[in-house]
Amino acid sequence: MKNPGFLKLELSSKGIRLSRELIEGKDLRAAFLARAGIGGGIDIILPDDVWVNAPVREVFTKKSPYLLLKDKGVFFIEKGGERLEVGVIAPPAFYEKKTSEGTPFAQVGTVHGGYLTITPIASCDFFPRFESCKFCSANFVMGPVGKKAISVREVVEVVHEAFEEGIAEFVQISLGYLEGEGHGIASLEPYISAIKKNFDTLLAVEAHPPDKDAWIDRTYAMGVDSIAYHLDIYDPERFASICPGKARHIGRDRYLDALQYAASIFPSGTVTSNLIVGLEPVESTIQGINHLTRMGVVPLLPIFKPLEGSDYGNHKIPDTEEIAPLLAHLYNAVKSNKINMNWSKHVSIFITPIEGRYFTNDQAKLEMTLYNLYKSKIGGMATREIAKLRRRLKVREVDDSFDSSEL
Amino acid sequence: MAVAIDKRPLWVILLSKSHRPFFFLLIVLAFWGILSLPTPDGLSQEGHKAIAVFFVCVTLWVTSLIPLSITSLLAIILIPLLGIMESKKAYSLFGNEAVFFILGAFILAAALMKSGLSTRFALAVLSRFGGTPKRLLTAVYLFPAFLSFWMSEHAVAAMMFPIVVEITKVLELRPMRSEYGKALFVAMAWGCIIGGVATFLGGARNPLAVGMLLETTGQSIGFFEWMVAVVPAVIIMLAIGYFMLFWFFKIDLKNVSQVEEALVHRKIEMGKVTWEERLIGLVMLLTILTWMFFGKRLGLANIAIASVVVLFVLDLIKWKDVEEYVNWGVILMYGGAITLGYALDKSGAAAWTANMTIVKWASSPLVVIALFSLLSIALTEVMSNAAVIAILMPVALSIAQHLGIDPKVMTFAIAVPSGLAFMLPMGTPACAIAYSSGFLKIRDMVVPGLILGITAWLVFILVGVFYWPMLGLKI
Ligand code: SF4
Repeated sequence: MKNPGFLKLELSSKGIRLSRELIEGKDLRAAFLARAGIGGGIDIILPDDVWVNAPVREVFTKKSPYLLLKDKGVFFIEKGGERLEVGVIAPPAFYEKKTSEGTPFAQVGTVHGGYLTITPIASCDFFPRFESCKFCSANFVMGPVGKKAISVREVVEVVHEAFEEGIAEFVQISLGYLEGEGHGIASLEPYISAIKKNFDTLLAVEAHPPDKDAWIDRTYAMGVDSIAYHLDIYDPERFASICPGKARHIGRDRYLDALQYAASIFPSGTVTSNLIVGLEPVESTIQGINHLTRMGVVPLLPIFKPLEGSDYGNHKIPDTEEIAPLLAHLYNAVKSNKINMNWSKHVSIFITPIEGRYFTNDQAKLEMTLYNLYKSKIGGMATREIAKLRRRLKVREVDDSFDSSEL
Repeated sequence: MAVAIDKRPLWVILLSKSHRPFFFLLIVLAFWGILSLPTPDGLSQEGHKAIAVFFVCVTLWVTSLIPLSITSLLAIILIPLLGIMESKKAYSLFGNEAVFFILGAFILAAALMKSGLSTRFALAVLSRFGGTPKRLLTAVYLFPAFLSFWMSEHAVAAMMFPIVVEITKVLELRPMRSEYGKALFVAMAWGCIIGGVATFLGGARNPLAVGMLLETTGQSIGFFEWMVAVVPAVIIMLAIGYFMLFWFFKIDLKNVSQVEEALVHRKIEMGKVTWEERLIGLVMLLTILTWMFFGKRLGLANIAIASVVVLFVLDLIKWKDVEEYVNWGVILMYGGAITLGYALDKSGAAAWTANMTIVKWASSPLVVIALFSLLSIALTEVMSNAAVIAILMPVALSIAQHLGIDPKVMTFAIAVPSGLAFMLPMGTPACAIAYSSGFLKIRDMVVPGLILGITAWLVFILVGVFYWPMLGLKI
C-alpha cells in the first residue's frame, strides 16, 4: 500500500469492495447512476495525488482484497488490517439532474478523474455485424444500436454543469466505429465546435483512424487537442482474432500509419493508443510500446477487466506482478523518445506514463517539476493558450472554390 | 473548406508570420526610395512613378502577401494618386472588353457545371471508351483536355475529380502505392492544363493577355485566330504527354471492368437528360460558334454577355449559382492588371525598362521570344499565371515594338506558357486538385512535370519558328 503507483495498479485491476455504510449511505449513491464499464467505478485519490478509478460494480470486485470505508468522516482503504487514508471524489451532483430535453445527465456524460467523458453517438457499427472487440461491453452499455444521437445542446448543458460544479477540467469524446470515410469524425464536428466555442477547455477524442490523412488534419483543425486511435492489441494475429471488425474494416497497418501521421500533426504527447494489458503476451506489449513510442505516440496501458456483457466477461484478470515491469518500460520508453508526458493530468482510468516511474528507480525530479507546473492553475491556463496559438499558426484553410483558382 | 496543417517547426512558422509587418514596411520604404531617386534620363516623371507602382505590385503579386485582386485595386488607386493618369481614365480601363468577356465565360461555365451537363459528358465518354486500363487512362487524359478547350480548366478538374476518385475506389487502388492511381490523377491534371491553353475559355489569362495587347497596341487576336495558332502546339503536347504518362507510370492492373458498372450507376443516379441541360448545351454551342466565326465583328465580350442574358431569360441559371461559381477576385485582378499595363506603356516606363534591360543585349527576336516564354513557364510554377502575364506583358510588348517583333507573337509567347505549370501543386488549380487526392507525392509530379514543361517549351518554340510564319505571324 506504500507505493501509490502499485496500489493504483492493484485497485484498477482488482477493484474495491465498499463497506456496508458506504453501500447504504448517500455519499456514493450518485456514482451508480452513471454507466457501468470502463470508468464506471469510484474515483479515489491516493497519496502523491495519484488518482484511480476503482471498479466497484463488476463481479470480480467481490473478491478484491481492498475495502473502502469511512471512519469519522475520513475515507480509508483497508487491506489485511492495514489502513491507508485516501480521498474520495464525490460523484457529481449533476448526475441526479436531467437535460432540458429530459435525458438524465449521467447518461450524457460521466466524470472520471479530471475528465468529463461524452459519447454523443452511442453506437458502433461492429455490433450488428458481430465483429465487435471481444473485450468490449459497449453494446451492453450503449443500448440499442442506432439509438438517436445526443443533441449538441444536451452536450453543451452537461459540460456546463460539470464545469460549474468544478468537477471536471477536460472533455473527452468517445466514438465507436461508424461507416463512411472519416469513420464518424465528421459527425463529431458540431459537438466539438460547440464545446470549443462555449468553454475554454482542452478536448480529447477517442476514435478510429479515418481512411485518409486529410481527416486527421481536419480533426486537429476542428479543435481536438488530443487524439486516440486505440490499437488495443499489438500482436497481428491476436489483433485479428480479438478485434475482428477493426482488422477487417480498418486494418492494423492503417492504425499504425494513422497514429504516425497524427503524431506529426498534434503536439508531442497528445497522440495516444491503448494497448490492453492481459490479452497478449508481455513481450508483445513491450514491442507495441517500442513501436508506438518510436513514432512519437504515447501508449496507454489499461489493465484488462472482464466486463459484463462482453465476450470476455469470464476471462482471467492479469497478474499485477507481471504488469509492473511493463509500466516501468512504458515510463522509460516515453522518456527516452522525448515525448511530452505532462498532458495527462488527474487520469484515473489507466496508469499514465509518468506514473510508470513508481515502478522504476528513477526519482524523475525534472519530470515531476515540469509535471507539477503543468498541473498548476497557471500551468493549465498556459497549456490551453499555447494549444490555441499552435492551432492558429498551424492550420491553413485551403479554399477549393473558384476564388482560389487565380486563373 | 479543406484544411492543411503546416508541418514546419513552430518557431519557423512564428518567424515566417512575424516577418509580415516587416515585409510591408520594407515594401513601403523601397517604394518611397524609388520615388525619391532622381528621374533617369529618357524617363518621364510619370514613367518613374509608374515603375515604383509596378515594383510594389510585382512584389505583392509574387509574394501573395495580400490577395492578387487587392494588389490590383491598389494599383488602380496609386496610379491616379501619384498623378500618372487621371482617375477617370484609370477606372475606365477597368471596363475593358477582356474583363467582361471573362465574366461572361465564368457565368457560362457556371451554368454548365450547375446543370451537371459536363459531368454527364464525362460519364458518357469514360464508359464508352474506358474498356481496358490503357483506354480508361487515355480517356481520363484526353477528355478533360478537350473539355478545357471550352470551359475553364479549373472547373474541368473540379468536375472530373470526384469521378476519378470514384474510379480509384472501385478499383481499390491504394493511395501513394498504386501506379495506376497516380497515373489517373496526373493524366487528369495534364489533360486540363494542356487543353486549357487552346482557346480563350480554358484559362481567363488568355483573354487578359489579349486585353493588355489591345490596350497597349490597339491590335487584337480573335477567338478563331488564337485557336488556329495554338491548337497544333496543343495536339503535339498532348501526344508527348500521352507517351510520357505511360513511360513514367506503369499500368499495374489488368482489369477495369468494375468501373463500367460504377459509371452506369452514376448515370442512373443522374437520370435522363433534362431540358435545361439540352438548352444550356445549345446556348454554349451557339456561343462558341459565334465566337469563332463572328467574334471579330460582334466582339467576344458582347457575345459572352448576350449568351448570359439568354441563360437568364430562359431561366436556366439563377444569380445564386453565379455567385457560387464566379471568381470575382480574378475579375478585379484582371481589371487592375490591364490598368497598370496601360499606365506603364503610356508613361513610357515600359519602353524605358525594355531599353535598359533586354534590348541592350538581345541578339535576335527569336532569342527574346525564347527567353520570355521560358521566363513565363518558369514563373508560372511558383505564382499565379495571371500575375505572370501582368508582370511580363507590359515590358515584353514594349520590347516587341522596339525589335520589330509582331506583338501578337509576343502575346502568345507569354500567355501560352503561362498556363503550362505541370510541376507543383501551387502552379495551377488542376495540379492542386490532383495532388489533393492523396495518391501523389510531390516527387511524382515534379520529375515528369519538369520534363514535360521543358518539352512543351521546345514544342512551343518550334511551332513558333516553323508554323506561325505560315499564318503571317513573324518573329
Ligand atoms: S470499436 Fe471495439 S471497443 Fe470500440 S465500441 Fe466498437 S467494439 Fe467496442
